[in-house]
Amino acid sequence: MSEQPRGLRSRIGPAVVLSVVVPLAALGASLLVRTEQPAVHSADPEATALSRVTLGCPSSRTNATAEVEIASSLAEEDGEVGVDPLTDDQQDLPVRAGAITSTAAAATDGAVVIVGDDTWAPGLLAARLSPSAATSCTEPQPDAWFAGVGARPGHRSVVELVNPDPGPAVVDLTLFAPTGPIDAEGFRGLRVPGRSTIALDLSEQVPRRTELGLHVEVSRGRLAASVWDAADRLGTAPASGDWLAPQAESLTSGILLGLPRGDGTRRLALVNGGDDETRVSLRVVSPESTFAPEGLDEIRVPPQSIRSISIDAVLAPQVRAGALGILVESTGPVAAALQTFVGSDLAPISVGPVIEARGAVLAPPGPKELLVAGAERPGVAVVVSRSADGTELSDERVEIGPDRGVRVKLPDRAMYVSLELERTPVVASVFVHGTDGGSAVLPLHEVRATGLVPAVRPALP
Amino acid sequence: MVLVSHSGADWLPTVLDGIAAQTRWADRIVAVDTGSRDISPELLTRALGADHVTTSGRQTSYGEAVDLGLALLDEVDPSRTEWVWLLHDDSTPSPTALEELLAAAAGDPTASVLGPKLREWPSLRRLLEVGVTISGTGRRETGLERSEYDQGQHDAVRQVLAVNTAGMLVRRDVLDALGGFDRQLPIFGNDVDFGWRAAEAGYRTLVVPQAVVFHAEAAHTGSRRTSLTGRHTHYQERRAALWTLLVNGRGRTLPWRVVRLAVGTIIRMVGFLLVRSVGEALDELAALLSVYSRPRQLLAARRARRRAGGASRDTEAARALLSPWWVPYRHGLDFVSDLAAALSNQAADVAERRRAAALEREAAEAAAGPKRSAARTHQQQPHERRAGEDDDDLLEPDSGLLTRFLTSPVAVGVAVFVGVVLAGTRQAWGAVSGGGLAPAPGSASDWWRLYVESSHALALGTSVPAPPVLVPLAMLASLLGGSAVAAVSVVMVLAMPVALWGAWRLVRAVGSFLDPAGMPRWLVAAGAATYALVPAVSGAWGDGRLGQVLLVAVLPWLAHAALAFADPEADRRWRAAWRTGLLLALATACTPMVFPVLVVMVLGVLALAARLAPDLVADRSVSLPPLVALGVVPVLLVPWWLPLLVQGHPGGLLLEPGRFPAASTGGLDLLLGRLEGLGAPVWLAVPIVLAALLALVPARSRVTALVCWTTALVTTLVAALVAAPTVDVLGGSARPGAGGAVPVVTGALVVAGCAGALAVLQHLRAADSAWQRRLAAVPAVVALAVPTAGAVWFAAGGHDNLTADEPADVPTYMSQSSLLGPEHGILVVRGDIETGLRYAVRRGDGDTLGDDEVLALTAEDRAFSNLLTDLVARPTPEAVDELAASGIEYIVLPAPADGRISARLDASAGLAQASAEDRSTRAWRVGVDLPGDAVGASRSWSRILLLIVQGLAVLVVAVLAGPSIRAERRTRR
Repeated sequence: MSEQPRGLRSRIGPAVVLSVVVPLAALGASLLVRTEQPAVHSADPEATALSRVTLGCPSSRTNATAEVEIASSLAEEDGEVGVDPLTDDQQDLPVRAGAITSTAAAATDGAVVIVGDDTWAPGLLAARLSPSAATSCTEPQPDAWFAGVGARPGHRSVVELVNPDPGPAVVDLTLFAPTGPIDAEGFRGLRVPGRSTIALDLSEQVPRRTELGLHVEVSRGRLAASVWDAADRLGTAPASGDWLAPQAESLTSGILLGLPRGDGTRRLALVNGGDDETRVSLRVVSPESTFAPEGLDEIRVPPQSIRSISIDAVLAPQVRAGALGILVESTGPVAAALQTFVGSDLAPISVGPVIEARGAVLAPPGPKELLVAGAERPGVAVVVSRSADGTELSDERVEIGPDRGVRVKLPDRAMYVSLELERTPVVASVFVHGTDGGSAVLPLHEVRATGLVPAVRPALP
Repeated sequence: MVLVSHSGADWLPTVLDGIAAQTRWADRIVAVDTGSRDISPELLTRALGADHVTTSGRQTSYGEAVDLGLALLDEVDPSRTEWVWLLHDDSTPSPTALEELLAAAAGDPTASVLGPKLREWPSLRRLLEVGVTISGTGRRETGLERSEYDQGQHDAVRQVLAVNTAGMLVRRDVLDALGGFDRQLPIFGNDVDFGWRAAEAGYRTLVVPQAVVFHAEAAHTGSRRTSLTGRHTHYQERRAALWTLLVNGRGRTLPWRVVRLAVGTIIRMVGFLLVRSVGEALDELAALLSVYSRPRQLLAARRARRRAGGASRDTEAARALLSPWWVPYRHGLDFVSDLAAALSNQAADVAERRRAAALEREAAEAAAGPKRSAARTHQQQPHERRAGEDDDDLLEPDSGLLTRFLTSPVAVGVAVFVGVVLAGTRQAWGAVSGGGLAPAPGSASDWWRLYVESSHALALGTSVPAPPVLVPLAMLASLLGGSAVAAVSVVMVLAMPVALWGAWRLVRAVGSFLDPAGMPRWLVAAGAATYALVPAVSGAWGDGRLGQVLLVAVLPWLAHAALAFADPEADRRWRAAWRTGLLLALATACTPMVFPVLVVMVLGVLALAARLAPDLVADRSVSLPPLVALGVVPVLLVPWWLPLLVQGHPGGLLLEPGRFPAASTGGLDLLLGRLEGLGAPVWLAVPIVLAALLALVPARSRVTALVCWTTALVTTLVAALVAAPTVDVLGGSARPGAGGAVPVVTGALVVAGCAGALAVLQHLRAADSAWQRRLAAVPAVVALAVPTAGAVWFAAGGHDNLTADEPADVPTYMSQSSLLGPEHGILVVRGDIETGLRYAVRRGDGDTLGDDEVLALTAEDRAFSNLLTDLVARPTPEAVDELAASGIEYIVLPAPADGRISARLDASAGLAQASAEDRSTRAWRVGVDLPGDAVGASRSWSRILLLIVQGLAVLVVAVLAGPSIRAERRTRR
């Protein structure tokens, strides 16, 4: 370094210049080196025509109906669907486009699997229908939530699991009590053999005095899960029961549609399967507005547990005033169900599925109305109803808007109800007034014309 | 006395004088000349008289010549001769030789053959032979060290197997009884054969060291070529040795000997090739073929010996005189250690040789001028350097190794450093994988197979060539008993010590360029240690970037080899070309971006040199070697790049070995020697960059520092180019990582920093004031602190992504089933419906090191992707059948499996659910018989041709790059 002060000026030669330039250039070049890896683009699934739809129908729990009604929202030609009562009596049932076909010939009290292929796969509908207890047959789902099941004589729930496939299915049933999850023997890793059904009476398996929440997780194979809810008020009223529709996933916002009128008890069950406490607030959905009723505070649901509260006092006046349903909003995902016991009829309703474009459902004959709510923005819904033989009974265009519900009166003979939406998704249910004073609520499901086929790509190990 | 001569006029006068000076005269002297081309016959006739000299043709063997001599002897004087003394024209006896021999014969009446002590002629001091025997491998054993001086240490008369025919005193009746010398052995080795036969016949052979004969060994050293030896003396010697062993050995050991000598020949050939003695290697082979191709003659000779020996044949007597069994192994060990010494001594500095060459020139130019005195003072510098080097060199040379080690702080420091680094590599002691490192396969043969195959049974079948880094790895694994796991472990554990060694040599060499006194050893050690830690602190080691780790070990050796391009000797420059080429090929196999860096550097330096010193570049032995070094690389790597280009994967040439995504680096990370998001804290690297920058300030180190910074600049530019494109890899694209630039840049900056530190130290040492001298401690402290901190950080551990065994996402029973054959594939499907499914097919022992690189460049099998799409859309029995036809036995959806996908597969008829340890992992078994030929590997002639080209190229380059261990012998000629 001794040379530096002595000969700085005289030594500014090419070497000195390079001594400055080269390191700077190296720094500059290093900044040019790109390091970011190309993003791994997720490949969107492709929508293709559904080629096969399987519906699982639970066993008939009422004496009234042994048969299963079958229809298609989309089929334009007559065809055949497979009816598998999980016995040796599998048969292909001729079905007529537009009409409702009954499986009377293959009538069975047991569980039935309906299989629609090709043109009869998209929009396939099946249901067990009686005016006071009706249920849609569901596609097997990997997840299902049932809030407010009972395991006591007064409120007895039967879980039915239908395995439509030849291979066995394995399922985990998690029960949530107010104090936390219940460690029930045999409920984890429960094996359902191929083409068979298992019915579990909770009051026999895990007797409990409190309401319970149920989470069905299928870890292997496919299962269609359903819950039959029976209320037994010994001595005060005849036994009554109905199916509790499954909620496919726990949500932070959901609508319970279909509030039977009349005096009775109304209990709201909220299940929090998460690990954090959730605060739930309720709002009433009426044809005019959606509002928070007076006298109802925020409900706290502890983690991994159920909270069941009576909202009769709050709700009864609103129902009388024409309320259609309840909007449940929470800080964390919950499953919710409302147990309404009016007169002698139990009408459990659960959070309905969101319909994006088109929904449909089969409903029993009788006085009924369509309830629509949960629109995100103003839109239009076209409601079409048909009778069992396919005759179009009504075709009504209704305006829908956010923060209010719509009630559409349907012809008594209507058994097929469809809803076509423009501009907004909604939640919709058909509310059936039973002849015996009972009622049934059947949520509409999205009509699936296409199935999602994932993009398949190779990857490095 | 019989003197045999052949073109020995150079020596004959001395020999004849020696004979004339004998204290005990021979009774009769005859000479036989076998067709000399010089004045030998005249010299003999003049000395002995015409009737005592006979001549014969050039093809006369030694045995025939002796017979002629004996006949002449009988002719000259028919009275019975008792003793015959044989001499060569290049062997001159000391005056008392014959007297001593006869005295010994008289003293021991049982002795039939006596031989003198042979000393080297013309040195007269070194011992050549004091009796001779033969080892099991056919080596002529004298029992002497190389170039041993005669100090009377072997002066006891003793029985030996044989004595040299030069100076051999043999009883006439014994010579006749044994039929003279074997005609099959014209020149070499007939003495051993004769001695062996004599011993078996019950005669005793003695060596009499008091009798001395000086022997020029003209034929052996090649200074005399005869029509019998030709150019290939080694061939003749070897042939004689093989012949002797095979015809004299015991009959029942003959098959064993045949095999052993054949194998031994191959090993010896390899040895000769290692030291660039191709001619001798070929001689070995020719000798073996010559002997083995004449089994009838061999057997005839064996029969003749049996007949001659008759009943009294005493094989045990001869066996006792053969050399012990372990002798060949000791020679092997000697050879290996010689080779290692030659390789490491090659480090003798280029700088020193350049200075010496410059001084020689200067001295020659100024031979008589006034500059002479100046030259002389310069010439003393090397000696001054020796004296002034370091204190530990001043210790007595005979002080023990341990003492010298313990009293050298640098040695202890380096040893501690290596120990700490080795402790830091503990995760790699044994099986290791993780990060970019795939697990090693079961054995080296898996690597060899992958490398040799033209198409591989990987995934759905692929013909992408295997990465070239498999070759060194497979070689290493084969050396380690076939364990690929051990090879990976050895690379991971020893790369840094090897890098330390190489960097030491490099930094020292650079130091001696800058300062004749060299760099202080502590500074060399600090620089080398800083560089050796690059894999650890950059994060390459912890992320399992095997290519980069290996590159760090190779790079300093490569740079050091390239320094020899500046050597004053053309021969060394050429050797530098081959060495650099070989090492560059290895480095390119580790990280391909090194090659373009070197190309730019070499072309740049040559272009610069062409401007500055056109004369120098005009010399082809200067400009060609660097170009050859570059040109060698594509030849050595041809089985890699050619198929890649032919198959349309040019991007593959940019990809480093290792799992994806590649470790990347750029910006300040690159200059500071870190891979993105990995490695030691950045501030540890700041002193290196600062030192490299400061090295630009002093004029003494400026040029070196500029060269280093230019290297860094070129490397970063190449890195920017390499990392600019993205390369299509299976199922997506990837950006080639510039991680390979880190060792080059850091290495260059370390060298620059060391050069700067040296300049500062030189300046401070020369300073007048004491405080300035004390300032020298500052760079010392910094230089030592950087590697120390790095080593401690590394040894603390916990910075790596490595693991002993990676968690498998495939159930154990499936991976065991997949070992049954390539058709037992496992289809692993990840993802969900919304984001798409990504599949991989696992076969054999799974994704092991080398497979990734092949699979990455494999094109997507669209038919199979479509099949899988069909399967998850609507499983049909046909789709399942096709799955089996593609060699899929199991389908696995690792946790978390998309329930909708698994539900669809559950609904399929041909798939049976299979169990998995993890309940959220879903698996199915394809319930259809798997066809055996679903996926197969294959070899093709074109691939084998490329491999042969590569193999030959490696062999040739390795031989040309080898040291010249036999230089001593050449100079003796």
